[in-house]
Parts: sequence; C-alpha cells; structure tokens
Amino acid sequence: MKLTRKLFIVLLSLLVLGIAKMPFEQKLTEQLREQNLLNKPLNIETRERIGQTSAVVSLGGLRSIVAAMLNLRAHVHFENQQWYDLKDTIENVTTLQPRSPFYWESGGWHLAYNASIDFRHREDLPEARRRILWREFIHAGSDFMEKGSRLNPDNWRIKAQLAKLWADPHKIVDIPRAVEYLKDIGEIEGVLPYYPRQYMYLLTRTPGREKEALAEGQKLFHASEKNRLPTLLCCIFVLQNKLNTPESEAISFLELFGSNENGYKALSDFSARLEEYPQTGIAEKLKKLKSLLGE
Amino acid sequence: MSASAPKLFSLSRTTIIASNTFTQLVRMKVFYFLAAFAAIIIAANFFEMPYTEGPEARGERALTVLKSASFGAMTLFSTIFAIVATALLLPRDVEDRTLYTILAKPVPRLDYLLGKLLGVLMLIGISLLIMDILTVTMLHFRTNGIISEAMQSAHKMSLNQEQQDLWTKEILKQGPTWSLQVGVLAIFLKAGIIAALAMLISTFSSSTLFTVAISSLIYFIGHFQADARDYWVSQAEGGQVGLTKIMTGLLAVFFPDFQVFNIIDAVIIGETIALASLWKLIGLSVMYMAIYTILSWFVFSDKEF
Repeated sequence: MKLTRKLFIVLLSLLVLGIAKMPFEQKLTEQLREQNLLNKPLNIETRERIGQTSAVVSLGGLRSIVAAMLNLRAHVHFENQQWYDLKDTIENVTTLQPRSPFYWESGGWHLAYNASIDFRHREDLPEARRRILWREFIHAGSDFMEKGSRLNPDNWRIKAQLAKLWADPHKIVDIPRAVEYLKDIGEIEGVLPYYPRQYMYLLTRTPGREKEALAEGQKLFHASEKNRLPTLLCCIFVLQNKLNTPESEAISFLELFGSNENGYKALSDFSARLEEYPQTGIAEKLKKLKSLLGE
Repeated sequence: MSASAPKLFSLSRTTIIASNTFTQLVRMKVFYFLAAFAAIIIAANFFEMPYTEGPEARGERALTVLKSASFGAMTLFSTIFAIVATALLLPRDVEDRTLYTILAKPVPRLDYLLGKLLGVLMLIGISLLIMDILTVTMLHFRTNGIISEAMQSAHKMSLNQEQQDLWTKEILKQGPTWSLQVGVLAIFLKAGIIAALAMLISTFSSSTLFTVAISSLIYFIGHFQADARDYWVSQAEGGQVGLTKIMTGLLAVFFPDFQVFNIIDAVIIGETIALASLWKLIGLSVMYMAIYTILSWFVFSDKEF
C-alpha cells in the first residue's frame, strides 16, 4: 500500500477515535477542575502579560515554576516600591497558581500594608492624594485576599489575615467586617485555636452582637480549658453584665476566674490594656474586690 | 517440514527487544543527565525565596519551591527522552543495519515496535524512579529541617503543644507524600504518550530532525487542546459553523490532551488526587499509547528498507 494512502487511513482513524474520545476527555477535565486539581486555562490577556516564553512553559505543565519566578519579580517591584507593577505581577502569579494560598496572603499583605503605608508617607504627593491612595491600596489588598479566600475556602490563613487587616487600629477599622471573615473559621481543619477566640473577641466589640458573642464565649469556655485565657474570661464577664444574664444561665465569677485574686488581676489588666472592649461592670467589681482583698 | 509462521505477538521477543533497546540507550550515556538533575534540586534546596510573610508560611513555600523545581526538571527530562530517544531509534537501527538483521528473522514488526517503545519507557521509568528517590530524599531532609526551625519559632511564640502539632502537620503535608508519587506517575504517562506518538511519526518520517520537530510541536499543541475543545463544546450549542469552530474541532479531535496531566501543579501544592480520577488518567494514557502503537504498526507493517 502506498504511504500516502496509509497516511490518509491513519488520519481517518485519528479522526474517528478523536471524536469518540472527546466526550471522555471533556468529562475528565471538568471533573478535575471541579476537584480543583486542574487550573482553568490561561486567558489571552494573562498569556500576553506574562510573556510568550512563560506562557509556553506554563502550558507545558510547569505553572508552579513560572509562578515562583514571577513572585521573585514581584519582590523586586516591592523593593523598588513600584506598587502598580507589583499589583499586576501578583495578579499574574495568582492567575497561574490560584490554589496556592501563600501567594494570595503575601500579595494582599504587600498591597494592604506595604503599598498603602508607602503612599501615606509620600512627601511628593498632596495630603488628600496620599489619603486616597492609602485607602485605595488597603481596599485593593482586601479585595485581592477576598478573591483568594473565595478560591481557597478551606484556607483559614487568608480569612485570618483579612480579619486582622480590618481590625487593625492603624488601618480603616471595620470590626463588623472583620467578624464576618472569622465566622465559621473554627470549622476549618487545622486552624490555630487562637482564631475562634479572636472571632469571639471581635464579636464582643461589635455593637448589637453581644448575645452571639456571649454564646460563643460560653461555648469556647466549656469546650476546652485551654480556651480559658484572661481576655476570654473578662469578655464573658463583661457581656454577662451588659446583657443582665440571669444567674442560672451565667457562668459565675468564681467559676470563670477560679479565685477573687485571679479575677482582680485579670479584670485590672483588661480594663487597663483593652480600652476598645466594652467595660460594663468592671469598675464596680474591681472596687468590691479591692475592699474584699484589702488592697 | 515447513516452518510455522511466527506468532503475531510474543512477550519474550518483545522483552528481549525492549531490554536491548534499553541497553542501546544507556550506552548513549543518557544517565549523565542525573548529575544535572541533582544540581538542580540541590540549587533549589538552597534557593531562598524572598520571604515577606510570617514564619508559619515559610516552610510551606520553601518545600513548594523545591517540589516545583524537581517536578519541572522531571517533566523536562522525561519529555526530551521520550521525543529524542524514540526519534533516534528507528533511523539508528537502519543506519547500523540492525533492523535488517532483526526483520530477516521471524520477528513480527509489531514485536519490534513494541519492544522499541517499551525500551524507551523503561529508560524513562528508571530515570523518573531515580529522580523521584533523589527528590523524596532531599524533601525528607528539608522537611525535617523546616520542622525543627518551626518548632524553635513556636517556642519563641509560646505556642502550646496542640498548636505545635498543627503546625508540624501543615509542614508535613508539603513534605514527601504518596500524592507526590501520583505526580511522578502523571509525568511518566505523559512521556509515554509522547513517546508512542514520536514512534508513529518516525515510522513515516524521513529524518530524525523531522520526527523531533513534529513531536515537539504536537507536544505544545497538546497543551492547547483542552482550550480548543472547551471552545468547540461551548460553540456546539449555537449550531453555527464557522472557520474557528472547524479549526478548534479538528485540533480537539486530532491531538492528545496534555493539559489533564497538569494535575502535577495540584500535587506540588499538596492536593490529593482521587483514585477514580487517577484510574481515568491511566486509562486515557493507555488508550493513546495503544492507538499510536497500532497505527505505527499499520504504517510500518509493509514498509520497505
């Protein structure tokens, strides 16, 4: 048989088999994408932004290497304080590796902290412009991390970093927003026990959510002795006072603190250090304890 | 007494040809590449990414960089071997006249082709195994080092035992795991497909260079195949027939999908591959290899030298 005829038959066979295999391949690809094992294909815009060579290498299954190299480029932009370039680069990095939480964390941190602070102190800019840019980059960092959190719902670190940002007294404080990021964080496997407590602390500081805060605090108190840290105990004490919790439902002072001495010390520290928290009933209790302990 | 016709396929004949092919490739000093691989992973091990986050994320990133470099090098070496070694084999056998000696004997051409392909797969498999052992060893030591550094930081941060255990668990997730072996298997399967494809091309190609060039081209197009198929599927409902739709349809039909093997990226960041998905991937790869081998046999069956 002539080679051309053979090649024609080969092509025809590939055509028939190709049509037969296509639904299977499509289904497998969709399954792997649903399981977050395959990234979505790079769009044309990203391919242009990362350059031809990087795009080809990424397509060849080496996205993680290209992402690591682009992350180095982002670091150079950070050192040179080229914030808009940094923003573009970290967006490319996370397009290549959307399921790598640390790229979202470090990118968000660069924007919300480093870039915003740098603009806040730029002497070559007018004050109003500085403030606008400061706010713009805090929001940019937050939006960036929110996107990362949506793509990595099982990652607690991004949520924790978002909560930290919106509770940071040196940034735009928005406690109700910070609370929302930590909601359900306790359900995520591997979360550090600090964060469910942090959720309760932030709830305590949110006006109108005291009941939820108390319920959360009591839950943590009963869940583990390791949760019984002075701040948590003081929050429960303050909330019970604020909500006038009936004695039958409240945790008693001695059960909370173990002794009058411990309670006195914890409440004194709490009122001195944590002024942003509600202080209902602390002054009166301290007064009583002072006379009781003879200080 | 007339001699009986040889069986169409003989495992022992195929194995002998495969082991000879493997020896032939080893004599080409291909294993010297392992020195380059070792250099790459040692360099990656000492390579420090600029860290801007807290100590709790550093270990994760250092191990990911090490895995990225190792898996990148494994993919690169196995693809090069698959294309170049396969492209070299038939022309070299013709040049050395070994092919005439083999085909003059009652050796079916299917056995010959299968033996050649298995020889290349043995080379790729053994190379990957050695690279895998080197990677896992390096990863093991690096993971232990990172855990020890992390625990020192944990003491400074006054973390309790439970917190330390959680931290250790997170670092170990990025260390040497069984999931990484699935990644190595994915690299092998991908290389197997490209080797079978290179063999098909070499059966009608006039030169080694042509085989290498066309196989490399198909390798890259194979990474766009899923994009083309996505487009074709999304347009299929519209019912319109345009040139782009026809082109993407042809691309999706004629070329293998190499993007499914990009699960390697997920493996690198510590994801676990479900067994059902792995079996499907193996099935798809075996199907491709079988199709290309049968077509190679069809072209090669009455080829005259």
